Amino acid sequence: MSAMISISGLQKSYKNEQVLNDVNLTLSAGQILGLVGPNGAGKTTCLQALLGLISYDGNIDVLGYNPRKNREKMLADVAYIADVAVLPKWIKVSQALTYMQGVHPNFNRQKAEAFLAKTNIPATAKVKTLSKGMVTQLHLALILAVDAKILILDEPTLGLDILTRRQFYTHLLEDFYDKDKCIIVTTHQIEEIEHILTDVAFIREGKIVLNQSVDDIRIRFKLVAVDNEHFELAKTYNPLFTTSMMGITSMLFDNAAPEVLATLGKVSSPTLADIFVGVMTQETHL
Amino acid sequence: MNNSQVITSFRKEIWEFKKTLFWVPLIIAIFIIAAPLLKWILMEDDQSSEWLGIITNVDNLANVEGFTRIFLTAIMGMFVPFIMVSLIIQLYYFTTCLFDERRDLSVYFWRSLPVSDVLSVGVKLITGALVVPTIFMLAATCVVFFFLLFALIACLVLSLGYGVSLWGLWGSADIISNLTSIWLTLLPYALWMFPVFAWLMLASMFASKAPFLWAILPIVAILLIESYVVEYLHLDGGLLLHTLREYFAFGQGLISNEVTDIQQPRFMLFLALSSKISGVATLIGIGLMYITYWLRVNKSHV
Repeated sequence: MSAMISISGLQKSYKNEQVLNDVNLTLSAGQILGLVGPNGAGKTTCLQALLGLISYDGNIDVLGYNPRKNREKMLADVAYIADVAVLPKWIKVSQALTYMQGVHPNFNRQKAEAFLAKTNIPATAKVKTLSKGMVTQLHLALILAVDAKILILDEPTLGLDILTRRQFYTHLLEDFYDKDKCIIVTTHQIEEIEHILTDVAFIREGKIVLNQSVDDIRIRFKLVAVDNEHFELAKTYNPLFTTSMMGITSMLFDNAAPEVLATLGKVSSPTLADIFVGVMTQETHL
Repeated sequence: MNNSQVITSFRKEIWEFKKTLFWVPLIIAIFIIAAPLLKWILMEDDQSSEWLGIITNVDNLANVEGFTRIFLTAIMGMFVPFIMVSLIIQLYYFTTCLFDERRDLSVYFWRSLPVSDVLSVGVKLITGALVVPTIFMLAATCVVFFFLLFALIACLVLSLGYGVSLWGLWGSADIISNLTSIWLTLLPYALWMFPVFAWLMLASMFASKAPFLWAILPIVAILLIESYVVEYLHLDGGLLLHTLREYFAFGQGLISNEVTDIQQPRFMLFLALSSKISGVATLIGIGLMYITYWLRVNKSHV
């Protein structure tokens, strides 16, 4: 399967600070990649480079386009939600629909109107009169009505309540995603999107420290509730992360033999959040 | 870039400034119409008779050229308040058009769509330089047509009620050509002011706060430094101050000097404005526009 997005040797620095350092990523149709990292890790910068919004060093290929040189053509097939707050406050819902219809060759107004009909957003309302959740729904309606091949979401649910967040991802899967498209999403609430991701990339200090399919990650990492008598032995297998809660010590292991782990205690599959914490807090890169 | 994108981009600019571009010319129009009408309604009988006498005076009616000039002056008088306010709105538009979208972060939304930065910046320039004054001049033209309608009714009343025929004056008023001559000034006016507009757009794009101050303060600072240097070195005068004074000077002398051999007074303003256009200033304007474009492409998301 040919790659829809290919990033190799991506570098970006602001003044003397290296924000992205040799980032390599490849994404094909059907993949939903979660780009996860702490604040300031370089997630947004990576997405902005991918969209041709900032200058960079390295190679990026999106659907055969160079984002810096062919940004407008590329954006006909790439939809982007930067942040829920970026819709202009003065615009009316109907004007936003008219604008999208006028400038976007792949925008389907009927689809957006059908989506909005399921909400309580009036067409005559201005964005500044809508709640944050409603603005998100409007933005999502505009973006999901675009027949795009790639969807890029940068912290799309930041600041929203849990109901709106779940609604957002439900619509994303039901109304946008199919096997011919791919999605990149950055978020802090990794546990909420864990079930929709096919792949995960962890980014730390501008470097991709882990990039694998979720299925492979689940095989690779194991969480063990270590028995007290095996605690010292377990430490010798270099756990990525150790935590003690209510008398139970849990250790996260990377690529450890399953039969060995079984002797240490109860083995389970960790959540992506567990793995994220483990990877981000370890001293050396994977 | 296609026609639909261009038209929609202009519509977006109009939507954003809809209140200003609709209500301000409307209020001026209402004021200009209401003020003389109110005066006419409150006019005493003897004053009305005096006016009727002036209008129906055979000598006055014979002075066709004088009437044409009066008509042209009256039209220009109606346009002046609109153009003055339009200039203020233009300055406001240019200092906010690129700043506001960065302040409310909507630039992230606009630039996530397949619209080129050339189109976005170009549409903003044309909107501020031509569309805004066009809206105000349209409002002024509507006011002129309102008064013409009023004059038509007055002619009918005088003709049927008093037996005074003023229909001959309609032909000598050159209504269409006078209005056309005023509308023709729009393009030289925009070209003359182009460097100013480009500078304001640059300030709007560059400033992280208070774009108007960014537009004014550098000029003031340079002028102050220049005046200090001039005084210290006992020079004749500052180059920048002289250049700015020369470029923006728009007095009676300019009009009379430039149009001495022109028979038609209606082209005076057009020729005077055309004479103010400078190749160097236009090139500076183009340079400023390029920097504005470059900043939008490279620094919008920093």
